[in-house]
Parts: sequence; C-alpha cells; structure tokens
Amino acid sequence: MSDLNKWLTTDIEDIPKANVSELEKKQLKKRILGQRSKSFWLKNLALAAGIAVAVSTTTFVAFPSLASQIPILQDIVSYFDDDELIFNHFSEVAQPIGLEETSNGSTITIEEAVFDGTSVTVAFALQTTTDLGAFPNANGLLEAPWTRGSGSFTSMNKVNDTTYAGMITMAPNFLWRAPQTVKLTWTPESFTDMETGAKVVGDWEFIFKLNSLNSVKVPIRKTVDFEGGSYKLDKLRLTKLSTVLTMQKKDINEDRYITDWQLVDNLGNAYPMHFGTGSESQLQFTFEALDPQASSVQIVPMVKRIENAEDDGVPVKAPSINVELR
Amino acid sequence: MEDFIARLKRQDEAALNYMIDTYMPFLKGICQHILVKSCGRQASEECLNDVFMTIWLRARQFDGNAEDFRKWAGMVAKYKAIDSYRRHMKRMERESVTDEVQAASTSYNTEETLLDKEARDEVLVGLHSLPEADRELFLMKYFLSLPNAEIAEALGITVSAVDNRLYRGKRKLATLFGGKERFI
Repeated sequence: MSDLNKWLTTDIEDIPKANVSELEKKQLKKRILGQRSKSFWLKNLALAAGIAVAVSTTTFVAFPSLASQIPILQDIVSYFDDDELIFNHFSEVAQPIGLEETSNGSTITIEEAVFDGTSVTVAFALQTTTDLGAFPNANGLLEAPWTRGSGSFTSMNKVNDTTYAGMITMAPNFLWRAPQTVKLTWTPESFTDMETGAKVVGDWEFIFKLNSLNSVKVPIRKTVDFEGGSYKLDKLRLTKLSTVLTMQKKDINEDRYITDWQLVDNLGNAYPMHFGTGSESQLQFTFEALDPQASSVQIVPMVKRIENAEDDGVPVKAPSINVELR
Repeated sequence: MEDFIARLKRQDEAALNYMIDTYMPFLKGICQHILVKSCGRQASEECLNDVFMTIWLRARQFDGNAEDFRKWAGMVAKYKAIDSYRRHMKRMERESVTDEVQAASTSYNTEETLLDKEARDEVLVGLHSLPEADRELFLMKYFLSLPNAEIAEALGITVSAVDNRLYRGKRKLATLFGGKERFI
C-alpha cells in the first residue's frame, strides 16, 4: 500500500496525540493573532478606500524630559504578569522615550523602550474614551527598517476606564551583526475589542531610535560534538536585560535532531531559553539576564533524536560547556 | 468552556486559548503522523499553523456541538496534511526532471486542480454538512483533486462505484456550495 493510501484510510482517532509544550501553544497563539491583525488591517484599508474618509488631527509632541517626568502610568510593566513579560529586568534598564501623539481624540504615549542588541521591547499607554474591554487587540506592526523582517507581538491590559497599558516585543533579523543603535517605526492602525467589536482608529506614527544596552562579551570558542553533528559555540553577550548565546551549527539534520538550550549558573539558577533567532549560518538564543553574583555558567544542550514521527524524541548525550564569567 | 463554539465564531480570544489547549495535541499528532517522516518537522509545523488558521478564520461556517467540532477539526488536519504531502512529493518530482519536462508537468498540474485555494478551503470546512458516508470521497475528489482511479483504490471500491457516488453527490454539493459548474 502506498503512503498516500495508508493515510487516506487512517482513522484520525487511531493517531496518538502529540506532546505540546506551553511555549508552542504561546507561539501558535501569537501567530494566529498576528495574522488576524493583518487581515483586519486589509479589511480596514478596503473600507477606507471605499468610503474615502480621512480625518486626521495628529499632533506630535516630542519632549522626552517633560513626558518622562509625568508618565501616564507609573510603571507599565506592573500591569503585566510574569508570564506575559519576556524580561523581568525591563523597568531597570529601559530608556525613557516620552513620545506622544493624538489622533481622533485618542492619545498614545510611548513611555519606555529597550534594545538589548537582539530584541526590542516597548512600553506604551493608550488613552481613549472608547471602551475596549479588558484585553484590546492592537493592529499595526512595530518595524525596524533595514532589517530582514521581524514580526512584533503586542499585548495590552486595561488599567482604568480610559487608559490601557501595552507592551510590544520584537526581534529584528539584522542583515549583518547587530548595530549599536536601531531605528524603529511604529504605526498603530487601530485597537479593537474582539468581544464587542468596539474600535479606535487613528493615524499615529512614531519614529524613534534606541541605543543598544552596554554588553559584556564572553568568548566561548568551544564545540559541542554529539552523534548528529556539532554546534560551534561562539560567545555569550551579557546585558542587564538578557543573555544571548551565539553559535554555528555543523552537519546537523534538523528533521532528526532538535536542541533546546539552557543555562545553569554556579549558584544553581537555571535560565530556560526565551527565543531563538538568526540565520542558517548564525544562530542566536536569548535567555533571561544572569544573576550578577554568578561567576560561571554551564551551557546545557538538550538534544533529542526523532526516530518515530509521533514520538517526542529520545534524549541524546551531548556535553555541557562550562564558561567562566570573570 | 460553556459556549466554546459560539465564542470561537465571534473570534473571542478566550476561545482561541481553549481551542489551543484542548485540541493542539490531537491536531499536532495528526500533522506529525503524516508529515514528519515524509516531509520533515518544518512541513508538519507549517501545516499545523495552517490548520489552526483555517479553523480560526472559518469557524463561522461550522455548525454542530463539541464532539462534531473535534471530528471536523481532525478532518481538516488530516486532509490539509495529506495535501501538503502531495505538494511536497510533486515538488520533489519536478525538481528531479529536466526543464523541458518540467514546463509540461507544471501546466498539467494547474489544470489538474479542480478548484482554487479559497474554494478548496470552503469545501474542506464545509465537510461537516456533507453526508457522512460520502465525506471522505468528496474530500479526495474536490479538496485533494485525486483521480477517480486513485480514490477507488484508497476506498477499496471500483472506479464505476466512485463515478456513481460522485454523480449522486453532485446535486447535494451544488446546493451546499452554491456554484453548480464547479462540481462537474
């Protein structure tokens, strides 16, 4: 029997369920909601083109010092729980931005943002008289021109009847190595309450630059050899916000072997991987910032071999690498 | 969740969370089963994304209870995965032949697909309103665009039996999907 026939006649109830991690669920949700924004945006565009309404009263206020003295929200981060926040140290390292724009009576203020050399996180507040529910959905991407695309994710929470707190995260795919400063544009198109359909549309646009956080580079230059190939570990880049591990892979069949990385410091703290970016030749993995008291860190590869399609994989031995931090 | 289906149709984010929590292991299992070995892990992941996206965007077209939903979602996953497998195989074939043959086979492939992607997705998500006995047969014909002979082989029936059942089902399909000429 051919494979095709085998599958056509398979009863779906006989197929074993797959294991799914919380991270996978989160990523799928992000992808679906991101896609939704796009299609909503397209619909809005079509609508706008048809009716040809263009009312815009945009004012542009850019007084960083003034705006940061009187933030709308004392601490945007406090409105998000740990699960929604990628980085715990955001508020300690964030750069005050203080850009504010009003369109159609609704005001957006970018209060703080940070660029750690790999990813960008932006905290903003929206003030509007429209009730957008507990978790409004934001349409419009944060983008870094001159990079090879990215994709951003926005989450928002209601603070009071007229104020909402928002966090945007994105990881640009830099053409070459990460620059010292990154230029960003954010054009929020609308905010929607998916429950009721209530919507705030505006013509906001923000253009701003972020400086990369100071980082310490710790060279590794060691290779992890295992049965499926090898990873050539390049370096760790430490900032107050995050830790980024860069490496190259060699002769690895990614359909057969998948690797998760973890850092464990000499004090016993474990730092699971937040996300991976990079290209075929250069891989980058981002972790939470290391404890400043740590003096060394173990880089632990968790390699799994996929033998049967349905399996979650068999753990494969791969050596950990120890790195002295000072 | 009480009114999961109604919430899903409204594209309520809570329903999305519930759908992912409840059905992702089941649907991922199906995509993996068909695609991981044959086409790779990435193909399986892309297919799973496509399945969830299709369900999310077209949930409005679904009618039924939670048990029907499970079956419906499972069938969407199964047929999307098989479709992805066939595309993969065709691509491999095309890459292994010369340019001359390639040009010919490309035009053959476009003609071979009876319906465009939108219409095919419509057939796929509309499957729950098809008569149960003919469901898979119609999906093979109008979603996968399999030749009748291959359908006969898969179902273990004769080609004329396939012709017959397709003929009888056509009227039903035309009323369901509104476009008569598509199902000739």
